[in-house]
Amino acid sequence: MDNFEVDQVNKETEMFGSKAVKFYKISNLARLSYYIMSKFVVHRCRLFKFTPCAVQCMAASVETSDLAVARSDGSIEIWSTKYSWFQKLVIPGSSDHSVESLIWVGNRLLSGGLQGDITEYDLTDATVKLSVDSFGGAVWCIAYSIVKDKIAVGCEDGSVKMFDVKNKAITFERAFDKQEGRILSMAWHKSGDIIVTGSTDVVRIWSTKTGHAIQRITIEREMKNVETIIWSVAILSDYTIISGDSSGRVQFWNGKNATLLQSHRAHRADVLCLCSTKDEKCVYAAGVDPRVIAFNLVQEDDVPTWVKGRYMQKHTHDVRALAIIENRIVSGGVDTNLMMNSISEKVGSFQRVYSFPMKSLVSTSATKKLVLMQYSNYLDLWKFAKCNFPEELNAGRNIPIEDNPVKLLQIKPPSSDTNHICCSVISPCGNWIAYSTTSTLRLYNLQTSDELSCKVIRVRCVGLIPSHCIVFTPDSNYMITSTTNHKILIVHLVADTCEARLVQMLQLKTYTCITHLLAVSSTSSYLATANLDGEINVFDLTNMTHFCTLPKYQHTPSSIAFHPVTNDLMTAYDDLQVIEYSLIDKAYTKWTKQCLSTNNEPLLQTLRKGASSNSCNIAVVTSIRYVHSDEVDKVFFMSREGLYIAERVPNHMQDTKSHLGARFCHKFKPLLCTEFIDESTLFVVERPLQDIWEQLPPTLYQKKFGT
Amino acid sequence: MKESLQIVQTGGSSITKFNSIFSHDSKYLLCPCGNLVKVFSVATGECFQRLNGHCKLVTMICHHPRVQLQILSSSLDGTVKVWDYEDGILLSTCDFNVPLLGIFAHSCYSTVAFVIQQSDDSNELYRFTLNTIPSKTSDIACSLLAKNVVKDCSKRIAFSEKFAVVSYSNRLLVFINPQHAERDEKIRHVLKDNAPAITCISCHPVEECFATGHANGEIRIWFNISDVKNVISSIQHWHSLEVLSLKFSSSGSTVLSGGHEGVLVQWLEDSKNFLPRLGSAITNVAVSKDSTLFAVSLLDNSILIITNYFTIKQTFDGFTAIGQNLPCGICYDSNTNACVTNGKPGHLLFYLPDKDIQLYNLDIVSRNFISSVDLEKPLSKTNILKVGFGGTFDGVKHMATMEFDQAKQRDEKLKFWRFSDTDQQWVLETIVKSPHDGCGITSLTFSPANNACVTTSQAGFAKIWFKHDEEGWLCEMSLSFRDLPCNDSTFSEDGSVLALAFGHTVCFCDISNNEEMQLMLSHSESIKSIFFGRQSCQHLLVAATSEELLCWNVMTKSMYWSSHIHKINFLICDIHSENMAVFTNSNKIFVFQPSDKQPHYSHNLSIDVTAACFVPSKNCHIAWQAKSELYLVSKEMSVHKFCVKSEVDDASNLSRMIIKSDQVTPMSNYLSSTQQKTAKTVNSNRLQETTVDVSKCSFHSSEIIKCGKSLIKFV
Repeated sequence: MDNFEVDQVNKETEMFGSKAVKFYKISNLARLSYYIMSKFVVHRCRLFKFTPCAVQCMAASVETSDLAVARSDGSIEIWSTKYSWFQKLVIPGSSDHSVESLIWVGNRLLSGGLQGDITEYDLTDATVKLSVDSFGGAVWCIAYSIVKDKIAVGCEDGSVKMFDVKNKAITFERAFDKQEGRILSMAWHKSGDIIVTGSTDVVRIWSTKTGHAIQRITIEREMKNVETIIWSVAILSDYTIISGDSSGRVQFWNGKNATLLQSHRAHRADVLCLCSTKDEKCVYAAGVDPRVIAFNLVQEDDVPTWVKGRYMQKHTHDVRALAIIENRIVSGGVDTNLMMNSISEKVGSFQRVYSFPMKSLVSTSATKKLVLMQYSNYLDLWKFAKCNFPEELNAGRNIPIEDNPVKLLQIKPPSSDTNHICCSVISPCGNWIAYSTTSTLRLYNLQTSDELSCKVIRVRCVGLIPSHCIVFTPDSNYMITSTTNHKILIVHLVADTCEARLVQMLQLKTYTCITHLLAVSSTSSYLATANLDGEINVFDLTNMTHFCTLPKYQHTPSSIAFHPVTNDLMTAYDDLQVIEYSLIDKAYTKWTKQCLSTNNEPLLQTLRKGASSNSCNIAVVTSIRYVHSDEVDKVFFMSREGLYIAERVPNHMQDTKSHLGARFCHKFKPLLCTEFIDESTLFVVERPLQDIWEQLPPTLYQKKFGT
Repeated sequence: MKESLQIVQTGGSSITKFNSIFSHDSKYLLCPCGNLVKVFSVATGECFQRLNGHCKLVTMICHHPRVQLQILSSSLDGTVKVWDYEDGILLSTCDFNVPLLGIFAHSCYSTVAFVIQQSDDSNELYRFTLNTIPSKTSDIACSLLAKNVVKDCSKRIAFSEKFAVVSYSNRLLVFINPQHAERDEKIRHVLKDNAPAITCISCHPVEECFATGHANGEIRIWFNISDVKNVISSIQHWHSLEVLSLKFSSSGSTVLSGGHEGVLVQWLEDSKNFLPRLGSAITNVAVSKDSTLFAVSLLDNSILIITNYFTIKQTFDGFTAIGQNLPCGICYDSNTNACVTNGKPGHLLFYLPDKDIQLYNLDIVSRNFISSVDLEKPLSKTNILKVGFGGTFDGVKHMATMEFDQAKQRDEKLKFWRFSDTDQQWVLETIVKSPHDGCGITSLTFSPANNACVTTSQAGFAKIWFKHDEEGWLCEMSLSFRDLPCNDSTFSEDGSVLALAFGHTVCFCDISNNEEMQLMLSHSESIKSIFFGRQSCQHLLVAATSEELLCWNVMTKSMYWSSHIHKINFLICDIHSENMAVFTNSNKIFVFQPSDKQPHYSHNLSIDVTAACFVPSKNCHIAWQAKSELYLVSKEMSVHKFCVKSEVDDASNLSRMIIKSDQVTPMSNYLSSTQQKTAKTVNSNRLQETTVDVSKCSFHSSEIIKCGKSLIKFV
């Protein structure tokens, strides 16, 4: 389909502060078009230039089967993998924080970074809990011994430092002998007595009792003047040491007497990561050559030999991290997506986990036709493109654009705040913008003087706490936030005087984890909250009291919304189940009961058949929109992969046949936002995958036969 | 009384179609070849023994599990035969009465062997006891192991010390201890649905692992094979096309593989060795017991013996014409007494049919063989369409070849060669580009009287080329007649008269005096080929249309006789006797003399003849072959000749009496070393070539065309 290309210099916008507003040139990359879809006009917007960051390292939790993924911008994502792939929470990074290695210590998550400290994260709050100096410069690697309950870190100055992690603290215990060159990789033997480290040209085996090196293995150089860097090491319980180095070799060593067992040159470039299965019969290796290769143990006549097994080539760029979760091998790297493969070759195929965050990065104001786009350290405010609707609207036709979209503002946190933005929202009336980093929540009033110029004024309010989620009520009188200390704040806003006042602080005793979803009914009378434990509560906003708690479903809610008329609460879960709850009857609605009784599998799962099954997380519903009329209710479930559209007879009408039909529209994807501007115009923000790929660095050159 | 004759195979046929094996001492290479098993001496390259006894195709041979000097062979005639290959003695026969597709034995299972029996709907793998080989079918104790075995089974089933693997296109059956295993005691490994099909298999000699080759060029090495759940397959991928053959070395440390690329690949643990440019697709690889020699069978019907440091030690050429339909037919070269026909792509094959020896392949087009990227779209190659030999004048003998590049439709080349007595090889004299503008050459004939050569084409021109001392070969005359296609040309025995078949008319011409003769012979149908009679029949001209054989008396300009023969395929003439032979599409042969309408001999052949040739010989016992013997080449490229029935048995006995020699005889040594060299030196001599452009000859040709027109007026 045709896309309108915009290429003109925008008018100068009014200066505000020193860094909030800049001049813009709208490049021809800004693509957008109006598109008529059955009875809707779809406004497709491709202005959002969001690119996920490369995966830096991963750690799988043994206890909770959660996967922690650190990205190159220092942010850490926790993925719940038990039932389906769901991004539970994101700990935003900051510009002065890097993560080089991650480790789970029980249910604590620790990381080491180049800024030279060990950081522990608060997973109930998505913030940094504490930070301890490594006493050895940049931390390149971390290992944990469950027997000793200690962690060891490999530092820039060439020493291994041991820390005690008992009693929820991190205390420095001792330093091992210093060696020449930084320690890049490390593995701790199961017994806790031996640590293996890799650095340039050498692998050392240390005794944890004495702190001295027991053995030293010099790795052969490929060329005389080029150092061999040992990017990764692993040790198995039978003291077999595996090393992966910059010349592309995976070598197996007898750790007891430091002799080479086997050397495999399976990769064409650096081997960056290694990982072994629980039964230690298979070791996976991956690196710059984007193949994940399995090495299998063949025990014939008690002579162990490691043979190269199958290989998986699904990544396009360097693979930086490998992890094993239950019976799956997960790999991630520069191409930002996670790939998942079954360990046993025979069952299951590979799956791709896309790196779009679950949280909405885009919010709109329908009345003022504004769209706010959230990047990691700034916000962009755009005015929609305008178009003249022709008299006849034919399905599938493109409508030419009359006015180009205009970038009005760029809002940046002050340079003192290095933390990245974790959530942002623009009010429905278009007068208020709020965003939160892990340290501060900031509220702005947006004042527009004419069509294309505007300014923002910071509104100060006592008692604001950094938040995970912010919503404005539909009448824009209140701002509601779920804070990092598990409270719900309700702030009254007065647009005329630019004033904000904290009016209520709601707290439930049962709330011990993050409230990641908030929804307000169209009449601004009810507030629904959902947390990661799956608890959903409804509050009455008129008298600020707790109204009810919904029955608990075993999965995590991914989106909640109120019906515009009946105030029934619709919840979509991460397994694609949809449940509607009537606040009047305090029970599931008739429609839900009917759906639950007739369908064996989750409602939306049945619709998705035929759409790609290789991408597993992309279909999770991230927002729900209603279009209500007297005869028919239309419910739009937005996922990154497309729109699920369900049509049904409204609940309050007495009809036996309440379910009219449902379909899955994956014409527009990947979707980052869908919003109704009015009853017949749907605004969607797309981020085509090829645009993301174009922004990735070049890949390792590989010769193809016949070229 | 007519002698009862029978055709016997004297040679030809493929030596690379089925697996060849080394003898245990690596001195001999044994290859199934048609109905025979040939034993080649690795040191000299001679075929030193022919095991003759099967009456149908030999499908597979293997070593006897206990006796080192014996082999077992299976054949489509339903028998397994045990041979002593050094002495060439058939020791015993075991008749299964079912066509056998393969036989397997392993020294670790001394009492049993395995055969593939072909039945109507499935091929089945059976085990039978070798202890005493009975002669009656009912006494053979067979037990069924696997059904529905793939037809091309010799590469898909492999045995090792402890196990046997039967592979199908996407699954594998592993039998542990196959000498005792029952049919249901097997381990099944199924490949994934999208996995490429298995094409060949080889077992590790010692360890419990095996390797499979796949249709997309992958090689997988399988470990942990006794464990259904945790079987490990390691994928190696270098070949871009299907892997056709795969073998572990006898120590198991390396794997050798070959495919359509014509590159032998040796897989070491972390690296690979390559032996490229072998000239053709590799169909089989055999490894000697001490792993010092590899035998690589190529699709062009030659076997290379390669040492373990990748040098070519020896070449055994079978009848290299395999896989073509011989576009240039068979010519007789009196110099070498050889039959000349298409050999390797772009080569001419010089072959001695009476001895079944291939002299050499002469490179004519001098192009490198490259394999195509996609097997569905094979690369076009330059074909040799015609070859002709001239008589010896001034001590020089000439040859002319016509080649045609299928890709560039107009790129045809006429090349004239001279046999250099000092170098003892063919030297290129002249190249003529597009002599007939790519219009389909139909014949190439040398004059027996002088250095002249005639080429004719579909476009209707006959061009006559003369040799000039300085410029090389030039076209001096170009003849046409009513724009009719010129189908054939022939010289009378003394070279005085040239006859040209233009459509349905034969015109005559005296090229030495440069004038056409006022003589024409016409027939109602288009004439395909013509020959002047020889010796006592010099005045007779025999012509063949597709349905009729005609004989004219040129002196009286009248029809001598004509005979109706259904669907004539081709006509050949013996230059040393009066005999001619005509072959029909229904494989009938009529041998006749132009002076007599009644054929001497007619026969219904059991083979599809694609080409035939008379070869001078003095020791034939058949009356009409007193001067020269007739050799036939079948569609399968096996060479046959006629034999008196009583002789047939002797022939098989004769083969046994050939002196067995492993010593290097001076002659065989010379032959084996010069074969390769001749071809190469011919290439290097290409610098001497001279090119003649046809346009230079335009003056002559236009003149002659006028003559042609005057001829028409005369009619």
